[in-house]
Amino acid sequence: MRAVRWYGKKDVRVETVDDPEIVNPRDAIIKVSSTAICGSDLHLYDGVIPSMKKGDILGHEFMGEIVETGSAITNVKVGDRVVIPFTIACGQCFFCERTLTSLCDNSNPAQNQDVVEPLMGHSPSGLFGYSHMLGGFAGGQAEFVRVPYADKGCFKVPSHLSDDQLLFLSDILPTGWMGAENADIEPGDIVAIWGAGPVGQFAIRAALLMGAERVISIDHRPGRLALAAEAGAETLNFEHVDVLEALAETTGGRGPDRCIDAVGMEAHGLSADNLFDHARQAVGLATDRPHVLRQAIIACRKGGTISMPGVYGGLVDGLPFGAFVNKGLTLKTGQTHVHRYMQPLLDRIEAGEIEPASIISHHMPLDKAADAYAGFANEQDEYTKVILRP
Amino acid sequence: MLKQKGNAMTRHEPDFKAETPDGSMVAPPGTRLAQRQNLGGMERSLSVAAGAVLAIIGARRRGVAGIALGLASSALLARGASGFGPAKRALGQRPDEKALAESAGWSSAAISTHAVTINAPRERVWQRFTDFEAWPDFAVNVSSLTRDDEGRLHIGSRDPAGEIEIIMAVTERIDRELLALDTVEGAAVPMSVRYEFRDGPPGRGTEIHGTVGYEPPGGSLGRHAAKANQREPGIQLRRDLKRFKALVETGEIATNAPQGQPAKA
Repeated sequence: MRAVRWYGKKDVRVETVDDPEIVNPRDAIIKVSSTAICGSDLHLYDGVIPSMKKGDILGHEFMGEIVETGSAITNVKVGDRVVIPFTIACGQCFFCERTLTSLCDNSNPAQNQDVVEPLMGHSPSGLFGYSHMLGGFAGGQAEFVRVPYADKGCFKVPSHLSDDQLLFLSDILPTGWMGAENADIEPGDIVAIWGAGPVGQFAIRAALLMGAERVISIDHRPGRLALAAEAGAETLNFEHVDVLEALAETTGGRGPDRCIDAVGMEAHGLSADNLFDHARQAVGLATDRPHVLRQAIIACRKGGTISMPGVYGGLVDGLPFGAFVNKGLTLKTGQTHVHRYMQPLLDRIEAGEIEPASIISHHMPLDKAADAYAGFANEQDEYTKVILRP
Repeated sequence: MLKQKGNAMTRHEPDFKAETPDGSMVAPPGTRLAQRQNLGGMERSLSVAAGAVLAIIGARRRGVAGIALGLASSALLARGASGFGPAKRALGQRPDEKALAESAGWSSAAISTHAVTINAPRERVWQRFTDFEAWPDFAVNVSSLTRDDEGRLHIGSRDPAGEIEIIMAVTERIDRELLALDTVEGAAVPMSVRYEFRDGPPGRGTEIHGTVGYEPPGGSLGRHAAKANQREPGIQLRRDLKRFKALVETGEIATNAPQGQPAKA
């Protein structure tokens, strides 16, 4: 089959590899109909996520048709059209029983847990196509994928909706939704959302559906800010205005009640702290550029909440923790517990409350993946979301 | 057979429970390696003294040299004050390892522990774990297992040198609570293993606390060599307990093949 493989910083190639096979009784093989490049794939593309190996198959947003099932699979069958959550979850451990599926105890193989435990203390769930410390599983930017724990990890979807409407149930729609949910939005709240990429876009829509009074989207790409405005957000371009001053003024000096960091470890912008982080990251002295988190702590209303769907990878320093403590802020984080959001969000798509396809800018064949990655990384105003079709 | 009767690990129970000289516990139940101090009184005094001297010199220097002296001084002061030397830990034995080696008649000993919590009742966990013939399903280096007339386990294991046989005897067994095994005399790598089974807090499943002590071939250096090729008993204990947990909870063991390791079970 054809698959997108990682070879290093800014080096992805489409190559022919062996087709996947059923290994465990709860496996299924999916023939991929659509797969997307995620903003978090750019962290891999930029080489800032450790424990990648040359030849790894990328991709964790994908959907398709079941073409083969293991002997223990009874709740889905060959021919079913399914969307696959990017977090692999067994459904039976302490965490899965509490729907905290991105914390599954069992989906990251024991040998791979050895890589992540010294860094994190405990291993989160395995993910598709996202480094060996998070499972080393072959990803979904391919013609076929082996899905472990497929009885929990294959979400059946109706035929009257298109791939474009459904694909984002795999990651970014639930991620934006959980980002807003973690912000604990109450009536009257003003919500500031850093990052108007795909997750930020869905967080904007979710925050409004959850009853936010106003949503302010912060980015520097005019096209992405325009998309945010279409969804009903007010916009701030950090290249043109001072974000802290603008947020203070527009909220009557209170600060936004809820702040959502939909940027993560690779913040852009020409602020002094971010340039310093850039320099340290370039020479291997820092893993993350937490400019957004610093700014959100200072901007946030006293007693407010910061929600962090953005991905961080390693050590973060220089955080204003004095401000964080003395302002009594709450921080909520986590990889998305995708499984628990799929049905409710499918219901909202069917009801027309959310139109996921609105953020797609490009459809490209899988064989053009290298161009798609380069475009998504370098021309972010034009490329908001790329769908690859095998 | 063993030079002393019973399980080598069990004989060192007080050490593993990290009691202080006055008999009080310094760590909560289930903790086995809380013992952190590995330096004697003279070593600690010398560390503090050397750290203090470097601090004085460092304070008078500016630039990189001053910072480097400051860091070295801090490390020495911490070493002396805490009684814990990381370098000595990496190269040598802890007091409990030394005691195990002396009592078992080994030239040196290494001890590793790992605990897992399994989302299943203790009875079921115990039944599955003591079904020895099923160990090859989850134990990564166990390729076969048979029992002889005396109840001893003949464990087939793939070594880099080829197929080897390890013979272990159950030295202690308390149903649903404790299983201890020792290698029989003449083993290439003498080893003693203990698994304790406890209930977690209500609704939190069953805890297995595993401890393995062994005589590393080639001493501490051999231990590091074994770690490098993933054959070190502590690494195997950790992985095997996790794989056993996955098997009990989910019926299978996650694998990332074909990008990595093949499955078992």
